[in-house]
Amino acid sequence: MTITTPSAPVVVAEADLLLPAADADPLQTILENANHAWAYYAPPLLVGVYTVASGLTRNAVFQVPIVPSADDLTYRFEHHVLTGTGTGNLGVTVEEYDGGWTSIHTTTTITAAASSWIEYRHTATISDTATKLRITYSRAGFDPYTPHSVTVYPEPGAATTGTQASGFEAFDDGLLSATGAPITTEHVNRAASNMHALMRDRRQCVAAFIQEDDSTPSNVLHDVGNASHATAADVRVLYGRAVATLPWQTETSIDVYCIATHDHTSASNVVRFGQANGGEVAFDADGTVESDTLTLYLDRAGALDAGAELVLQGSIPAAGQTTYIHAVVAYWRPGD
Amino acid sequence: MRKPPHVAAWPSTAPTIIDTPTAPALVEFLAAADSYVMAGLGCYAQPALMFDGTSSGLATRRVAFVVPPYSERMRAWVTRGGGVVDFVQATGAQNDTTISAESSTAGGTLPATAAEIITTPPGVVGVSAYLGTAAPWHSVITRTGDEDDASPSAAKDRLLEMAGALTPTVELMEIGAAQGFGLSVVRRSKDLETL
Repeated sequence: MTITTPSAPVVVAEADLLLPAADADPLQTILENANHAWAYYAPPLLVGVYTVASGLTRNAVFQVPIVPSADDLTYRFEHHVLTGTGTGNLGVTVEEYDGGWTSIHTTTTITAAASSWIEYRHTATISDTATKLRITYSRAGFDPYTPHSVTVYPEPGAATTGTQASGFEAFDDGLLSATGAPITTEHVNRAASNMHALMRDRRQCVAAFIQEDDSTPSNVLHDVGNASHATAADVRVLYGRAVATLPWQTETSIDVYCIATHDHTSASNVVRFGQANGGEVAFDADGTVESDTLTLYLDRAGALDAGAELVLQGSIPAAGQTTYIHAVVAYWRPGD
Repeated sequence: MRKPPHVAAWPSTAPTIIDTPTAPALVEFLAAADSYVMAGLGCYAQPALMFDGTSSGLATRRVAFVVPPYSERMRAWVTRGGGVVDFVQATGAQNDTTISAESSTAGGTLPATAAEIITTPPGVVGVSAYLGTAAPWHSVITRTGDEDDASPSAAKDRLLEMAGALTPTVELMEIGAAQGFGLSVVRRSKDLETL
């Protein structure tokens, strides 16, 4: 009785599906390909390029709303940082918010030569109940550096026994490998239901805009205020515009999350995220994680490159005030 | 007989391939299960990235993308912005956007040669400025070219080459002169049996 997790899916030839014998294969191969999906189906939870001043000589702190897997998965993190002068080590700390902040990875010993690109890769397990990540970059001796991006995707390792919270249940060859073993209805359905469980559980990042969030407003590179020509109430200033691709979709919905603050008391509906020439959702700037659902009607509908142009705008409720957009991210899952 | 990657309609509830305990042993059941798994393995959205790629020290940005299995060619959607005092006074087009891409390796190096860099015209005039920070501002989204040239002798606007593997790959990209970026797969392997 073995749970096999292939490192690559085994392609069942079309010919092998014409007249298969009533035997373990090709069904066992199909089920083990679903086990492969557990370990290698890795749509990114987050891909974000930081909007941040270059050549920082202080810590940089970013907070990003997340919707992690229900399976307490291990994720791979890839950080890209450009150093300036000096050889002070780079530090990276990742925390998750689950009613309080918990460190899930920290180091201060990343060797960092002067004027070099640093790619720092590590894994960390994200709790299923976490709602935010807080990522802090630092450099010994306050040597200058520029945080560029972070990419986070599932890397859970081999499938294990039991039913996971997502609904995934690893295939164990115990029944199918026995001589003359029956091929059950459940086995046939399980291949598809396991793949489906993973697709519904592992949300896919479809948009991201991230600025610093460390309670020091002046650290936010681009605030919504006079500097950005938001000189009157409700003047919308463009903060992000880019295209997301959602293959083969025609109409679908995404969940949008936002963290924003304001220099007065909280401001209502000052961050807007939507589809160009389509619908939009609005968020308050009150320091909390706000969310809403946005329906997308895709360009090139139904095609491999079906997509939508997404737009992020900021505003202020009254002249002379300032809104700070810290993070806006959007997540999709097939079937929504 | 070629086996292309399948496309599936994704339901919000788990599909039931066999819904009766005494179903006949139809080969269609196996084909349906195989199709659903293999199609699902290739189902990845590509995010719309919004960022400042213009301000001092930020003209070149690096980020890792997860490229779905079966992908052979991709194109990028590039957002550019500009602020001009007067369009008449604008001094012409800005520099091209540049994209270097290579499968990610520890160490953060991009081994692409100069000829492998993809350049795409900016589509805007005037001083490059980050979207809302310059007035009056304007922005455009352009799509990188569709010329398929896997061995370019010079940097040009062309398709991005991907590994076309059965498993996802992580692609490190360095993006120059852009304020928004998104990828889309435009060509997948025609035969999974050859991967």
